[in-house]
Amino acid sequence: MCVAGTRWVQTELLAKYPKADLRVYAIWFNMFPGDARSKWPPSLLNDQRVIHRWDEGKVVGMWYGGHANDIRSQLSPGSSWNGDILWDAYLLYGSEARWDDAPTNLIHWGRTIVAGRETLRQDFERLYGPSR
Amino acid sequence: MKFRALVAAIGLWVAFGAIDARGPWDANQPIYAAPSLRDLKSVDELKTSFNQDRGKPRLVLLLSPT
Repeated sequence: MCVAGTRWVQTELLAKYPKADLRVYAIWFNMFPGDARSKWPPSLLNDQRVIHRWDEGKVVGMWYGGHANDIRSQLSPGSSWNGDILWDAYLLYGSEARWDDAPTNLIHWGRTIVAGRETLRQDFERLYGPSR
Repeated sequence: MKFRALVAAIGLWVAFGAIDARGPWDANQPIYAAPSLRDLKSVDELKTSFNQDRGKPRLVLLLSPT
């Protein structure tokens, strides 16, 4: 399912907004028993605006899991989340966002990516206009 | 003489881009570096990158590889 959401981001967002000024941080970590760094699919998300990082300790997923209640009001319709480690999820921030104690200017987040994709698509339209 | 002319013609053909290392079918496509995967050791590393990219919208994806 994570793969489906990732593919959607590549084909339906990044490919359709090739000139959008945007940075994407793809944070990869093990969640399923068969997951491993060696299973990372480099061709799935190959846009040049994407930075890929392997998070062996799941530190980012745990950090967001611990802060999920603080951002629950920005959860996209159709999404739901309860747990310790946030994964198969997106978080979209505006251009003025700054991270001191926590990132500011969160537009929406969603989990799963597939469940929140319509909100993400609409937010891209608001930021960048209609897709090509 | 004919051989020299042929060599010169091929040289011009290459020089003007008719032959490309990527092949003529995608000669107009930009060459992109393959994605690379580096280790992330702490949340602070993401925080630093996040703040360096201020001025543009940012999308954080939390993913598992399968």
